[in-house]
Amino acid sequence: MKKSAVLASLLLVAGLVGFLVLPRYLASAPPVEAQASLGKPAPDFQVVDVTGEPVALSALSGKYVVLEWWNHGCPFVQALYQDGKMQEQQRAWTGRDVQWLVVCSSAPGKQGHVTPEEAIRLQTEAGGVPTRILLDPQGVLGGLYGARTTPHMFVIDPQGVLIYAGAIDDRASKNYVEQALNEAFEGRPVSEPLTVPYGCSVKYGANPDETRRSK
Amino acid sequence: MPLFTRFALVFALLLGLFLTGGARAAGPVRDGPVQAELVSELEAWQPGATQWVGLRLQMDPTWHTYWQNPGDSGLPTGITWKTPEGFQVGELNWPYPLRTEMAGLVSLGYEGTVLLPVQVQVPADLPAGRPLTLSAEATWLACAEACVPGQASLELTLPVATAVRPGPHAAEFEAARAALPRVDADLQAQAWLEGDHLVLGFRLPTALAAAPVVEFYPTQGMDLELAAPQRLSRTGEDLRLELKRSPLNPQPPRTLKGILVRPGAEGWALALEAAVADAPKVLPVQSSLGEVRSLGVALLFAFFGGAILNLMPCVFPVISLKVMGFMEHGAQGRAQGMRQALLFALGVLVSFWLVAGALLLLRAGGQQLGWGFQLQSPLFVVLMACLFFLLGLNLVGVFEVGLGLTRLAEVGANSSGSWGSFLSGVLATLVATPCTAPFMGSAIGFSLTQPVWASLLVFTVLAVGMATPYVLLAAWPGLLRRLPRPGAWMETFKQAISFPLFLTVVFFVWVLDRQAGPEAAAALLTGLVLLGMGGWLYGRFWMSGRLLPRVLAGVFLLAGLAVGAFGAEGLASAPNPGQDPTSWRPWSPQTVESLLAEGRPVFVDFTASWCLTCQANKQVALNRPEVQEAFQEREVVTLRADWTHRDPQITRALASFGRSGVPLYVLYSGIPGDPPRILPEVLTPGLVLQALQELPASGASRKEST
Repeated sequence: MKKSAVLASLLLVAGLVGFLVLPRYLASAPPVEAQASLGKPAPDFQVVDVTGEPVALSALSGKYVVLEWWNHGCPFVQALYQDGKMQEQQRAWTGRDVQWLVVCSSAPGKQGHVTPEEAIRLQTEAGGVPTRILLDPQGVLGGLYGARTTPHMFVIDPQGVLIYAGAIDDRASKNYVEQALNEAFEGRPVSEPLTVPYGCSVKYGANPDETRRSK
Repeated sequence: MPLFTRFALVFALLLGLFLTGGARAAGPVRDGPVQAELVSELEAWQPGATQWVGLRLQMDPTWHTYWQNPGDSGLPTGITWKTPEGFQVGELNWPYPLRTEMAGLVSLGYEGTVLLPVQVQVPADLPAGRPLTLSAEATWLACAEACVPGQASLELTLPVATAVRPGPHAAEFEAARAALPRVDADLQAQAWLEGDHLVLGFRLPTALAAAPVVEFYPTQGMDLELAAPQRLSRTGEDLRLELKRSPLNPQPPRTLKGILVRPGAEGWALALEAAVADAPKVLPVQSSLGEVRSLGVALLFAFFGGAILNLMPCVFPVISLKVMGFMEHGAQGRAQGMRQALLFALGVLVSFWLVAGALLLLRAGGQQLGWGFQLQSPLFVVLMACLFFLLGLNLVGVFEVGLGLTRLAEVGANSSGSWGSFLSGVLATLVATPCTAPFMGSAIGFSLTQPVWASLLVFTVLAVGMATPYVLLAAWPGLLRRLPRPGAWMETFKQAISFPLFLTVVFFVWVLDRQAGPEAAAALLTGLVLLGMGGWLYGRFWMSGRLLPRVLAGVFLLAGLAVGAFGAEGLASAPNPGQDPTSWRPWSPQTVESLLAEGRPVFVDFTASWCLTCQANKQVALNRPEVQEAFQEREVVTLRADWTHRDPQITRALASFGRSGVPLYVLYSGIPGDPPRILPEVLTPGLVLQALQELPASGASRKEST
């Protein structure tokens, strides 16, 4: 009986070690990434739109959200708006209760930087019908989502998961955002969830990293 | 529709065609900031030949056009051809690009003038003399701060001739072709995942091996974060480039495709394509004890490392237990001794498998962990201290919980005796982890880069190596016969060997103090006192059969564990870094890089508080005055990388040297391109002094060495 007590206590300690130590590693396993990643919950943000109303991604849960990076001075954006392709998508999807957020990350003094009034005027003149226009002159939203180009498109599903990131279209007939939303509305997985965006670079302001490696 | 109208329409269409045709230019065409032109290397079409033409783009100052992978934004230049009959035009070829970064976004492209060459196959049956025109529609995106898409309809008209001379652009073609990524069979490369990085391990062809800087540009895709710095490190000939994966894309690529570029005036580029694995197939491993490049060598190293592990300070307390066991069952004959030794070996084996399994599992989960990882958890340290304290109390006679561990074999069929041997094997392995023996580091480091079966094989052989001395001892009846007969002296011996166990407890308390601060250490000591009371109550009153003391004993034992554990978790404060009498500076990859850039020699001590071998080396060699003086004399900067806590950066650095645990001692000469030297796991002052002596002359007299 005594021998089994020693065994039992040793096993107990070994068990404790196992159960206390290992889960700590496992629990801390997924490093919390503050950056958008496809198939993962999209990072939340709280900003004020051009009309002064607060916008939070978390408050939009339950709805599809589209983020469109916009710079009215970029020829790629201009071409899309002149052809009406972007507004067509905005109209089609906001009509189905999709929250379409236009984001401008141009820094002060850089191409595409606008005041709230200018942003409203430019979108109205172009016939744009986004749900909201967000100005991000510090590039915080852009950094959070890794936005590279104008346009760069992101689609977030009602559960808040990022389901598409990439170009608006294949520069021919296929519109990737339309395809992603169509598939999602039909309950299917997005067939092309990640594409290479094209266009002008997002005109971020100088950041501390800028001088680091430029040659 | 009247005939006239129809005729007018056709005429207008024809006119339109003619006019657009007329807009095609044989010379350069400007659109925005870019001037485009089709040019030929030769002055004429040569029937039957494959010759070069090219799209030549001349950008205004500050403007750039893009490479085949434009980078974070932009568009590659494109071209569609309209060829004379029988001509065949190949794909655009891309000289390696210039990397520019603006506000955290990277562009890969060209400034000034670029020639994108194309091969043209000219049909053999062309009559000489008649000029033939190759035309093309070129599109590009030009960006400075702003972007302007451009396009041009271009023409190249050349006569047909059998004898041809180079044209005015011949030298440009020569230069453009020299800047195309070359395919070199001598470039050995592989890629693997390490956390949020893709690591490219490669060896350059000998002719290029001296290149101090290379960068990797992917040809396509969303796999990499181009703006992140690419960290290049070198072990001997083996280069390792760390590429940050794009956080947007959780799916690692199957293959990494791109070019290796040595930027600058004497630049070149090599085409590279490597399958992406979970772990490197053969990680370059180099140590003073030789290189581990094959599984066979790793197994050999593992065996010797395991055997030598028995002589390291960690295992000593358990060895005394083991010796005790031998003495007890020695009298019972060889067969019994053998049985116990094999059970001990089994205990070692099983626990090595458990440790290896946990390690591989956690690493598969993306954790940056290595040998001894469990000691990075304060809770584990507390539980080990408690376990050893209880064992010590038991041995010294505060309480007798049966016979357990120390009475290893009384009767052949005694099952708890067998368990005892098995458990002492487990214990030996647990306490062995703070130590790294010579040979072991390379073997484990190599094994973790291998498929699971191979890693487990290496760990198995390590365990076999560790258990072998006991099995040999048991199989050697001569020695057993010389052991004294069991008797009353054994009780004395048993009590005496409790003291090494208490010393082990001191070691764990000290480690906890370093890890979690003095409050946690105080809590652990309090917990040990409670454990002591529990053990004492148990020993004093258990046999009395009364309930209260039994319950109290249990309560105190649990309370002891709880207080210790609480201390580790709840009271953990800023870790106590300890006072180092010497001039060690904290390590970081950037520090090493910048020091090396200055040409300073650097010594790095990869260590951890819980690593006993490391502590021994510190006292015996590194902190000795003569060694410290030698460091100063040779102007070696001494850096310390403390792995007491989990630190993925250090784990990665260890991996780059083919290691997965501490200690590791690295000496950089500070001369560009000179591979760092790795010192053995067990140091002596002489060894360090000699390594310092062998450093090439430093400072002003520094020259390029071989």
